[in-house]
Amino acid sequence: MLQLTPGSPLELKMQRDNRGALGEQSAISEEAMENLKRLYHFDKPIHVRYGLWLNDLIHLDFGKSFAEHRPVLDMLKERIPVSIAFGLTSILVALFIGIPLGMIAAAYQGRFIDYCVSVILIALYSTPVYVVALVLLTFLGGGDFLDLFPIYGLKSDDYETLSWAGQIWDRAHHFFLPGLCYCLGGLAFIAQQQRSSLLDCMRQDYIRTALSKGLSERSAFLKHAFRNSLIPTVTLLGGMIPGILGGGIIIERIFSIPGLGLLSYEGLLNRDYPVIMANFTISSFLVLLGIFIADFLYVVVDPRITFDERGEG
Amino acid sequence: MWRRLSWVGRVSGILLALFVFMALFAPWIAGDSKNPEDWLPLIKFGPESADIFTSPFLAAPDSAHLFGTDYIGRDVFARVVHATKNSLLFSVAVMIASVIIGTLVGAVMGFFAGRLDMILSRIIEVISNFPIFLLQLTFLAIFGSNYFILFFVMIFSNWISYARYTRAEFFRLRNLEFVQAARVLGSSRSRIIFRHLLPNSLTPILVLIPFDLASTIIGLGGLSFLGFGEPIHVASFGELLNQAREHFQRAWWLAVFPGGALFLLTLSLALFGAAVRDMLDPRLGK
Repeated sequence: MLQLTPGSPLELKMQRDNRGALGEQSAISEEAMENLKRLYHFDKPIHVRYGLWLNDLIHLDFGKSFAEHRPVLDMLKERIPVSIAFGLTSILVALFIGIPLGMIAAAYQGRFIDYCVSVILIALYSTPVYVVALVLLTFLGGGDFLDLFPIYGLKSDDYETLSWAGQIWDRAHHFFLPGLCYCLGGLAFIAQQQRSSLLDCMRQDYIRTALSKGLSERSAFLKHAFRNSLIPTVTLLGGMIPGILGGGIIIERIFSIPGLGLLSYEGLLNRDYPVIMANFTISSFLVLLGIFIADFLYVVVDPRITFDERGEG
Repeated sequence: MWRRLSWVGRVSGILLALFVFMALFAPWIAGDSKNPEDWLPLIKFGPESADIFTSPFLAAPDSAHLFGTDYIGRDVFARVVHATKNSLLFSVAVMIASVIIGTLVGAVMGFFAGRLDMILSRIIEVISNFPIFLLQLTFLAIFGSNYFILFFVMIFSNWISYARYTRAEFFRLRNLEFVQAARVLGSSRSRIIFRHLLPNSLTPILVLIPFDLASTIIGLGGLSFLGFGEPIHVASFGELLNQAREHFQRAWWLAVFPGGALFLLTLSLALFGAAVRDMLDPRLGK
């Protein structure tokens, strides 16, 4: 579908070459064009190309980038660790801050704390991440205001000269602002979900039973309701994993972070089909991974759920 | 209605009303005026008006330019007002189309159930598992950004939540007595769907609308921010914020005012939506 589009990347490249050759009518002969076409399989119909692409994919060959003339796989290898670092941080923060926040709000339901937390969460949730990022950048990234944080990239230019501890500090320093932006949305999302599913659980009959058999409210809350309330949250968490890539595009563009998001953005600008296809492959893989992790966590969270043939769940 | 709304709901409702007012009267609030004697428009700069001889580039806010000027000397306040208008209009249009598609599909799924429901459910699952933002960007990068493509791309996955809610409501209602009574009386299918089932399943859809509008506005801003959304000359939050990204060391007003306006707009939508939800059905939120 992607490749059905008008204006092939080859023609784009040709145009650039033409301009490079100072207005010559056609710097590249028809024959060379044909050769190039054959190299990138543009001479074959679309379904054949898709088949070839699938075949390459099985061998983990994403093809060569049109724009950078090197295998997409190499580009991915550089970028994936960066995205994983940010994605993992955001998910861990969502888990270890979001879930307790949701619990606190639910525990004090209807009281002032709950009210504050809920309003803050809605505010966080409805704030576009690019606004947060830009405001942080403007006020903390130099210019007329505070110059607290570096504004782009992952490490300083003099990174190699720094001491061991200095290198770690430098990394963390660069990591902080984009990492913060990565975290906010997911945090609010998870906390809201955790709050409402906990409250849902507290209304269930088994909580009433637990309370009536003399359990303290505290242990009914922590032991009975909490565990059951994790299930919807886990589902959401699985859904967050593919979001790493999508949400990353904007953040990585603002902070010039060489991650997968920036790669897809550049790929789109350059019509770099192999790169775009690789990104789609990765994000489909992430969707599957998310579902898989969610399924795995279901079993951890709730032993009643099994995926055995014999299982009752 | 008003009395039962919480105070957060009231404040956000008033704020929202202000934004709607601003959107509706945008040309009279900020527009070109040849005659300085007119008291309308209030701001004498249109979103596009930039006179390279008189208007300073990237000027800090002052009494003439309330929010400063952008990199080619256009008034930021005028652009914010018109960006509000554009994004509200567009997201309302997307919302209406999504509601229509979503409720119809959801109604069909919920009413006929069975195999048709199963097939449509699978389709919905497939669509909702797409990396939507990446897909939207790809479409816009390929087909160029114009409002038609943008509209299509925004609706593409947006109708799904409406379909889900409608379907769930239909499943809840379909075997209730009043529906059976209508059947027994010989009402046609479409009459049952449109006269009996649909009006009774509108509450969750109404509750969803403010949140949906907020997320459409945010999504649209994100697309425009990356340069793939609204056409480049159109005043939009994304375009203003993209300028803020380029000039962040010199022009704080480019980040603060458009960002703040966008934040207030989506925040008031979300808070208002939450308040209305709690009012209509206290159980949903608490």
